[in-house]
Amino acid sequence: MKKPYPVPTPDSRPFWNGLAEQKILLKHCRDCDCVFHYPRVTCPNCLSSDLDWKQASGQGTLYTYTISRRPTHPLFADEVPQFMAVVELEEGPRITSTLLNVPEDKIQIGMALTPVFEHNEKEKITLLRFQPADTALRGAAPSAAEDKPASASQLTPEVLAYIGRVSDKVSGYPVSAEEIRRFCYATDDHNPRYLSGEDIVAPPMFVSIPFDWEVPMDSLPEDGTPQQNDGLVFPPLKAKRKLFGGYQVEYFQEIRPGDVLTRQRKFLDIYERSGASGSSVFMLIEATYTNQRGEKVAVDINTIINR
Amino acid sequence: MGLRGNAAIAGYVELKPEKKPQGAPLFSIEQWAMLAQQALRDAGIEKHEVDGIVTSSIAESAMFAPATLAEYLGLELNLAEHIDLGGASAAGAIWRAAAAIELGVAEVVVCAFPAGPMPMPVELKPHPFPFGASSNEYGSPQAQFDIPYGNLAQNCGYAQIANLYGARYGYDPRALAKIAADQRASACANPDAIFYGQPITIDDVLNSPMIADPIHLLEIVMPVAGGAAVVVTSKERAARAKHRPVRITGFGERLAFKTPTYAADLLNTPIAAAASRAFAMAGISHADIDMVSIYDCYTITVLMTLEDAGFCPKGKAAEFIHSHDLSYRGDFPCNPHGGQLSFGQTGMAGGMHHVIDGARQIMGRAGGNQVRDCNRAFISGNGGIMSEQVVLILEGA
Ligand SMILES: [Zn+2]
Repeated sequence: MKKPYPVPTPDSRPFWNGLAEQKILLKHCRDCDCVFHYPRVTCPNCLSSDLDWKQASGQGTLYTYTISRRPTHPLFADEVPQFMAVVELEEGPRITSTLLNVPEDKIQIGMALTPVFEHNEKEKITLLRFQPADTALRGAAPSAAEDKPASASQLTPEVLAYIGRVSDKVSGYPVSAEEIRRFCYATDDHNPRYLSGEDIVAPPMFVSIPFDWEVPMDSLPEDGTPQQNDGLVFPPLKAKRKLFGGYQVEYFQEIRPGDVLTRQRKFLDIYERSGASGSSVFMLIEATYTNQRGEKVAVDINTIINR
Repeated sequence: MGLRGNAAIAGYVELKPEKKPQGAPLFSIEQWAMLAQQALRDAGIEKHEVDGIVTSSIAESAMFAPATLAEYLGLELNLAEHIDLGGASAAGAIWRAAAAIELGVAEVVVCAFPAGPMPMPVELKPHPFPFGASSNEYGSPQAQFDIPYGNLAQNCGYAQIANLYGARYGYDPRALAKIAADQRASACANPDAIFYGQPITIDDVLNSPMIADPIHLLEIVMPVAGGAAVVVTSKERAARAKHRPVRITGFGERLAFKTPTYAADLLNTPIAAAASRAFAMAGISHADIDMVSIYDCYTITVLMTLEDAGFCPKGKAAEFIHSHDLSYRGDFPCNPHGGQLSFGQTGMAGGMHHVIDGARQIMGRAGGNQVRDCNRAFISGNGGIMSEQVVLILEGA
């Protein structure tokens, strides 16, 4: 699962297009002459729909903020500490944003801020972040990606070429009631649907089990993760440590004894995040499972963090 | 205008909170039915007398929740209300029930909020990282303008409010921490509380990890499983029930935003308008209040409620907190059953903790936590990020 990015609506599209051109556009009411954010089809002051757009100066002040020491959501773990800001634009409206290029001890409510237009080419969206207007207050902090020297990136063209590569299709051990039973006992799951009766099904998390092969300890690679026999080669990275970064799975069919599952894996995405302790490379690997009738059984996404 | 005090709480149930629930999981309609059964038994009111319900969303039925419940419980209803005010839902449910009773629309209204674990079918696809109270649906303002910046969930917004308060009035971390410590003292007299037997000091609170500046871990509620229900009926019917009737004599409700970024003035919380309406309706003043039960998702919520509801001047809550003992045995009992900070936050039932806190004290059923001579209570509900707030004034008959 990837980080949420804005999806413009017909009404808001000019705002997002404006950010891409480094302009902050605010809705303006021609009836009561107020400006407001976020865009709406009616004026929150007088409910008129006689609206147009006005360009804001971009200058603002810090209305309030917090430094979140824990991720506000697992998908934002790479941004911790998060400098969560509410910015009051010179024209009045407030806007949700984050602060860049400012050390913690320089942050002051009321401080003057200036915009940073952070364009994300892959998502085709520009986010609006802010930094101190006074350059003397700027400094190392969670810094904008564009400030990193390009040479520091582990995402070489060679690594990026791995996005979209697929593995061979590999079949797992045939599913048996006995294997399901052992899995349930090992995971302390006593749901009778998995254990007894004529119509036994496998618990959802079972889906990857038929693809786990026993690997002798002395043939484990350095990072401790057994190689899968599906030919999917990992990109060469400077970071050698692998961390489990999350698992998402969607099911389409029940798995029953006698089923033979086939799996194909794919590099869905590879991206880099920078934090205080250096950079991490996130790899999202999607696996599609089908059964012997060719029906799609499940799709899962594993996030592996290399650091 | 408003309530005349002709409706009263006649009974309630508040399940003992559990961190790791022991019992079998029940669907929310099943939990609703069990809560209704226990609350009605507590009141001594028969099922066939029930002609109204107020409910929040029901997991098994995204639409038509009241009709689903009526059918499941075997009720014929003249009042079927669905309420969606987050942590203010419980207090909001009580005044809606009271208003319907005073209008003569209903005679006995059950307000129930299940918060226990539910069975998980194999087909279910739980979202790996749910967005909780923040909506990431296409077209939702939050999805476009807040969530992409990581502004979601609760901690961030409350911390932003706390920092803004500090910039305007000064921030006294020890005063905030004392709220948590005093409530813990009350919880240590309440065997049902999740933190029973675990007293804490102001320093313990300040030494707990910083989560979002300036809020520490021990200033944030811990989610637990539970559930609560309250029976509201006419003053006359309540007089023939089992306990001292607890009349609902005043209420106020106010909301105007969802995300703090878009509040007109974050430091003037909606509780100000709600409380002044509630006091005026009840015709009593702050000095008449024997206890308060203030929605305490975070310590900052309590501090700002004390000020904006008029218990102390704006900007002076820290002084007020330092000069009063807020525990059940103190001179300003605040959340005498432990509050959600120390009792545990039982999901949507968390708001009902405060309603029942007041009813329990006025009925004289608080056991070791009983506040002496308790006849009038101030109750607050709070949903979102101090964005939807409800006040109730409860008075013993
Ligand atoms: Zn207007």
